Order: sequence, then C-alpha cells, then structure tokens
Amino acid sequence: MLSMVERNIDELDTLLTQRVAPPPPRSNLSERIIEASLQSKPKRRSGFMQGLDGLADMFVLPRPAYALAAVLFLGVVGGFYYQVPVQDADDTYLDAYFLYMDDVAAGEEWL
Amino acid sequence: MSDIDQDDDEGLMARVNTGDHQAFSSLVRRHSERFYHVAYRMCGQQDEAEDIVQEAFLKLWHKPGSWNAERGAKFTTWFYRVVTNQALDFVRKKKPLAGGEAIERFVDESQNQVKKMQVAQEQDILEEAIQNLPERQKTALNLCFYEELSNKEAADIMGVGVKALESLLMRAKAGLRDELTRRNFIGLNEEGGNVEYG
Repeated sequence: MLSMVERNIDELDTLLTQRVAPPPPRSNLSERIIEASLQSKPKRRSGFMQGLDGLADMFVLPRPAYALAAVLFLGVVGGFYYQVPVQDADDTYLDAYFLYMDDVAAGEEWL
Repeated sequence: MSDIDQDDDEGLMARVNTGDHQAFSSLVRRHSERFYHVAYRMCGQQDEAEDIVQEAFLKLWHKPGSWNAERGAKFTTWFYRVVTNQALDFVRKKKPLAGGEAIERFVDESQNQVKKMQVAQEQDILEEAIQNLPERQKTALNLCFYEELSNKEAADIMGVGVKALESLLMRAKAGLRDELTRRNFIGLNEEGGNVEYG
C-alpha cells in the first residue's frame, strides 16, 4: 500500500504531465532571428587578440577546489625546501661583547 | 539535403566560428522552437520567450567564440544554459505573474464551457505554483520533466552534481505539493483518502 506522501506525489506527477504545452511562437521565429542576424556582422577578433584569449584560457581555473589544493601543495613543498638562515652562536657572542665595550668607551660609569 | 543539414551541431558551430551565416541559419531552424519552449516554461510569456531565444541566438552569432568546443560541452547543453540564464534574468527583472493572467491557455474546444473554465482555472493555479518556485528548483523541474533530459544532462546544464539536482527536484515537488494542497488543488482527507477538488 502506498504511503500518504507517495500517493500525493503520484497525484502531483499526474498533474505535472497535464501542464499545458507552450503555445507555438506567434511569428516565424527562426526567420525573424535569421533576419535580425543579417542586420549585424559578428565581431571577429584579430589574430593577436585571439592569441591573447588562448593564453588567458590556459590560466582558467575550472575547479576551485583543485586550485586551492595545488596552492596548499606548493606551499608545503616550498616550506619544506626553504632553509631558515641560522646565525652562528659565536657571532652572537661577539656582537654582544662589542656592544658592551662600546658602552664603556662612551664613558658611562658602572654602578 | 545539403551538407550543412547533415552536419551535427558542433560541426555547424565550427562553421559559425568562421562567420558562416548559412550554418548559423541551419542551427536556428533546427533549435529555435525547442529553446522557445524552454524560455516559455521559464517566463510564462510568449513575446518574452521569443525575445529571449532571439537574443540568445544573436549573442551566439556575435560572439561564437563563447562556445568552446575544446571544453567538451555539447552545443545543446551549453545553449540550454545560455537560454535558461537569459530567462532567469528576465524573470528577475519582471514582477511576479499576477494570478496566472499572463499564461496563455489552450483548452480542447470540444469541452463544454463550464469544464473549460474549470480546466483553465486549474491550469492557472498549477502554472502559478510552478512559476513561484525558487529559480533553481523551477529550472530543474522544467529541464527534467518537460524537456525530458536525463538527470545527468540537466545537472550539466545547471552546473551542479546529479545528487544536488535530485535534491532540487525533490524540493520542487515538495514545494508544489504543499502549495497545491494549501489551495485545495490536491490533498488528503483525515482518513488518508484523496480530497476531491474542483
């Protein structure tokens, strides 16, 4: 036995098939369109512009999710190969030492 | 039959791309009526549906490069999208239909006057309920139910997955059922039997 909802949907399907067909177009639609198209010429692009379009097409990103994944991947790979410049511990010590000497040379007294 | 008439749509589009007006004419003669039906189902007005189709074909003539064969889409799939988008733009700009006044009615002449009025009234209610559906639900319903496209084709045209399309269809039907039940057009009585209407 059909459920209440199924019975309703069946009835709806029957109704939808009874929707009136669109009336035929009033004028001869095809000929009207063809005539209108004769009034204007298509805009043809120059060879150079077509080349530019072709170039732009190469950069179309059809799938945003893939684009995001590619950027993340490049970021991870880039991060993996990037080496953080490390300062030698001796250099750090020397810098601090000369800083101290400069302060003394300026004539400041110690407490 | 000329060579052009034997060409498939994609072959004709390749010719249109080179400025071949005969190929364009052939495409128009082949498809204008089908796309007029689509536009009419979307906007419910004869003149506007004709204008929508004309505009879509003229755009195609002026900028044939907007269809790119290399992307692999069938011409009809792509053009369905152009026409439905154009029709939706039209519907957005226009006020909603008032009581189905703008819908043309074609009723069998052999029916008596009372029956005719009843059928016309029912058709108005149905048409109004369909026209008042959210845009995407209405598009899905029109493509699958009246254009008899497969779910896959309709999903491609709308740029959604098949599951999403099926969900749109279900929601469209549920919305219609609620609206038509509210207006006593279809419905169930308390015992679960069908309520008579009309």
